[in-house]
Amino acid sequence: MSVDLTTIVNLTAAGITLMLLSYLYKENRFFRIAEHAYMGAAAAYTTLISIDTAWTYLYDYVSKGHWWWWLTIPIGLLYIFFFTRKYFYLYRYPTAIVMGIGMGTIVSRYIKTQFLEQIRATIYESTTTQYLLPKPLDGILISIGVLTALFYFYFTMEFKGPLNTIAKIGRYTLIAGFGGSFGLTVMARISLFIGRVRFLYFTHPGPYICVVAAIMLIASITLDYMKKSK
Amino acid sequence: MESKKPMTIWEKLENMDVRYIYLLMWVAISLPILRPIGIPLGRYSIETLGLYNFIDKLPPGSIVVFIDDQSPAAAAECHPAEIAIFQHCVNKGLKVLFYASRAEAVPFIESTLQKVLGASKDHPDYGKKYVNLGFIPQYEVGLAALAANMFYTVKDAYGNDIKTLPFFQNLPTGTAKDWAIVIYYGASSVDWVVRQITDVYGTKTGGGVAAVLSSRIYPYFPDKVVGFTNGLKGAAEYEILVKRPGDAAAGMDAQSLGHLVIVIFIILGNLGYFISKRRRM
Repeated sequence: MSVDLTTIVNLTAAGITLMLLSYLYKENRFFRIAEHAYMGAAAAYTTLISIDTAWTYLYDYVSKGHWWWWLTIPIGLLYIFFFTRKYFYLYRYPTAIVMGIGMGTIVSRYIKTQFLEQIRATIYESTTTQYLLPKPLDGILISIGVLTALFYFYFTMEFKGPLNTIAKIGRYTLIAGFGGSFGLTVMARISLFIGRVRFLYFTHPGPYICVVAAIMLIASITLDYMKKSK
Repeated sequence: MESKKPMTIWEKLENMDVRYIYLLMWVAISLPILRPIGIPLGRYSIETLGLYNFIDKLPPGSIVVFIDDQSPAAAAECHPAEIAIFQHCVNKGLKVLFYASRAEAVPFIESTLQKVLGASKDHPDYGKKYVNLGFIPQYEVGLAALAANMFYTVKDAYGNDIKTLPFFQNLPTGTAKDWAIVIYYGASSVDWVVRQITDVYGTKTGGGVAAVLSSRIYPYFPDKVVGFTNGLKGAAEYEILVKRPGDAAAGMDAQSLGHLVIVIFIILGNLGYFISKRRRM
């Protein structure tokens, strides 16, 4: 009997999925093994892809005579000094370069995109776009929500009387926003679970692994119950 | 000796072992997966329609850029959306440039090409209409560099020099100005795409995102982000719109029942809390 590679891969994937899900019953050794294996595999895969990508760029640029690209190798290797106490400061050089380039790229755009454009879009959208309700109602709701939520974070005076009501409306707006985020998060988690369950049920040999896992789970519950009874 | 007061049903519910809920959730999700019920999807959301209509109106030959930023954990939501949107692009005769901003997302590009075209680098249109650039590191910095000069990546995922590929011939500027839309697939953040593409080059952004990201994408919708598929439901809607029902549409029954279980438990939990509180008072 021959077993092809896909079956072995699916068998491993199904096994690891169930080992990770076993945490829902209780903390156990199988979960720990799968957790560490997942972390290790992900790190190894990312490293391999990164090295391959770096080499592709480096080789091409160096072969075109851009010799200074060789400098990226010693600079990149300085990251290894993270693991030493004596030469830890060397690790800061590549970090500083990456952080500097990152910050330079992001900060210049940040104020426009995340601040100025958001103010403009809020004013513009609240007057022109229809989301759920008829046009004027949507705009009015957005305007009230934005203004009262901003007012809630105004700390230089005590909220009394009508000011307290405005702050309260702002708080309810924020809570509605958090509720929406929570609902979407739940939806996302269920979707991910559905993805794994569909994989387990419809990918050979997933269903067999499920049966074995179910037997193991029942045995585990029975053993726990017997221990408790004693 | 003081006798213990028997617990009321609400107190029992409050103290219920959470593992029973997990088990019930598993059952609620498994049943419709094994035996589909066919719960209707409802009307299409404006987010999905926004993206669909934008792509639908693009003239043939327009360049669509797909950024794969999905981890395997978010693939259940993002990957069906990517397949459906790519199918739409293929139907419309659009040119699609793929790249992964996260190393773990690299296999999803290959999978999308295989599932829609039946081949990747061996497809006759590969290099003409579709190109896979593979992994481009450093998220925002990588995207900014690609947007400023499409030729900086040098080679595609299969080692071809991109200057030799017909896809890259006769580009008006060789920058993000040539792109019709950038579509982000993932669960982390769409901010950097808007920041580096829409606000700089005016190219619109779209998304095939995990539901957990939706609350971060709404501030940009519909001005900068023209539309997006919101989690599994959005992906299912797009699958139906392009007449290619797939994994997302198949999972919607389970999604609906799963939500029903959660709603019931939230109502029961709240009822239990308020009734117990009233009794204690």
